[in-house]
Amino acid sequence: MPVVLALRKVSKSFGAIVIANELDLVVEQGEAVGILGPNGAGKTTLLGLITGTLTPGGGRIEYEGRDIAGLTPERRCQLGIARAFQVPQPFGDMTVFENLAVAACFGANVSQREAHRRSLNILEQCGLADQANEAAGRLTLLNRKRLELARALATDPRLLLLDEIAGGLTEHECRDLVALIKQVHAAGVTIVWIEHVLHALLSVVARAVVLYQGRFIADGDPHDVIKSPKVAEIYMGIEADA
Amino acid sequence: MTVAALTIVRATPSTRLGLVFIASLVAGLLSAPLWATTDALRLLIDIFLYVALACLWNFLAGYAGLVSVGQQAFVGLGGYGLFALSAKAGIPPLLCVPIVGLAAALLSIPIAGLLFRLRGAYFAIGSWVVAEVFRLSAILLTPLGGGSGMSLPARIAQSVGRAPHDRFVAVYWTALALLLGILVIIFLALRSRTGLALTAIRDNELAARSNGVNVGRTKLIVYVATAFGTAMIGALIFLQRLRISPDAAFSVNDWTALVIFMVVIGGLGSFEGPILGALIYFLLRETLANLGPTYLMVLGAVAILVMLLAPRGLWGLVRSRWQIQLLPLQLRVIPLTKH
Repeated sequence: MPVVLALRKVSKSFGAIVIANELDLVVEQGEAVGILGPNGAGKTTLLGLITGTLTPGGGRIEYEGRDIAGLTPERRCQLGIARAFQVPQPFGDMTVFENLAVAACFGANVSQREAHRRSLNILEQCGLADQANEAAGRLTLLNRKRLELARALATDPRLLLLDEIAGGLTEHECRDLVALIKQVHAAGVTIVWIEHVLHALLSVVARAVVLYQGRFIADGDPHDVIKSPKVAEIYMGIEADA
Repeated sequence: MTVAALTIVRATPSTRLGLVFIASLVAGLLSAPLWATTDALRLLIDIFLYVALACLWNFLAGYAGLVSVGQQAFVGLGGYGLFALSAKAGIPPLLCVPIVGLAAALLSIPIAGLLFRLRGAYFAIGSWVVAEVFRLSAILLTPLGGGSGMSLPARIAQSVGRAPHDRFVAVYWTALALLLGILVIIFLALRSRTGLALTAIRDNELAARSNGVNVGRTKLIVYVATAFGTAMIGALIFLQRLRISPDAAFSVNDWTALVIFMVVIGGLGSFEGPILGALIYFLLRETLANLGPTYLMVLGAVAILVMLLAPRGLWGLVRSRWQIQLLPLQLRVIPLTKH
């Protein structure tokens, strides 16, 4: 399979704190990769580096074979890299539908008419049709998360980056969202997913990497990865929640 | 799929009423020279010009997030451009208006190149500095009167209208046409792709970037368009006054602080807000101006009260309480059968 995303010795530090220490990672087309690691391990920073909201201190980031250093976040989105933020970032005073229209219009770079058509489809697909005319800032947590995912999908992504999308949801809500993510993955979208809710993550990804103190310390079948002594030590008890 | 059962509209009953209201208002204003006194025309011209400035500043700050404290640079540029072109080059004053607009738009591109490196408060201060540079440069323009300024020669004022009333009528039509033009263009821009991008930037710039919106280009378009409109309004302001000086032309109080007051009390980031704010300002001015210093204290108190009680301005209050809008801007999804 062709490589969608490749990190080559990517580094990033904030002052004296090293957040990413020569990270190497290759993600192939159609893969779903989970990223695990304790709080502060640098997971969200990694997504910032891939989407271009942060600039790496060193190394190369390649997307579909080309070096994307120097491309703006908006350009990277147009090329097919979409991100659902950990803390949802809706356009609060715009309606849910308008939120999707923005993403479709500019992320997928289509006409307003076509963007509207796609947005209606995604409203249905993500179960947001009843909230279409609501101001996005007034949504419940579940619906904000749905909107965050829906808006990422509206940009027509080939690489979808999810950041703790299942966090804070009830068991039932989580199941709906996971079903949706499975559907997206089945349609051929490559997924990189940061998640603490392990059962949600494990029901989608076939590979997991563990980030700890700026380095990947494990990479492989998710069930093996979480059982490895090194990871168990770092997580101490966290996997008991799963 | 149930997609076929949904459709998208912008109009709501309140926007249909709004259109009827706007149409009758425009008709009334168009006929004003037939029935209004010269004093009333003078007041209406003032209102038109300030409503236009408020809408332009709102377009810039409320949508593109460019909080400029230096729009007087373009007002003054427009005024001085008009005086130079009409008094020195003999171009008919009303023809000067679009020419100075164009010149300001061109000049705003290098200014944007400079100012767009600054963010937030630094941008605001930078824009003010640029306007001060303009004011100081105007003092050096001895052919245009230097520091004490100049009056528009009587023959040029008379070329607009022989009697003062005729001149007021000509400026009135031009100001009204310009205001309507600016409002229509802002309205159409807000409904276009650029408007969708702008509304997204207004709400969340980080999310806008992450969803493919080219924030830098969108802001540049708005900055240049606003400079174009602001300079044309500036030209008309000084055509109406017949006198210009660097301090009056590049006044931060008259052309920016007052405008910010209007936009903030009316509602930043909505189409209707600045219009409402400008009207409230004139209402206060016309009823309280005799009070002297107390008048300014009332203005200050109004601004503070609105900021505390209705941070999104009075129109924001109206909109969130009754969910109404006057103009069909918002996209709404409705079942097809109802429409």
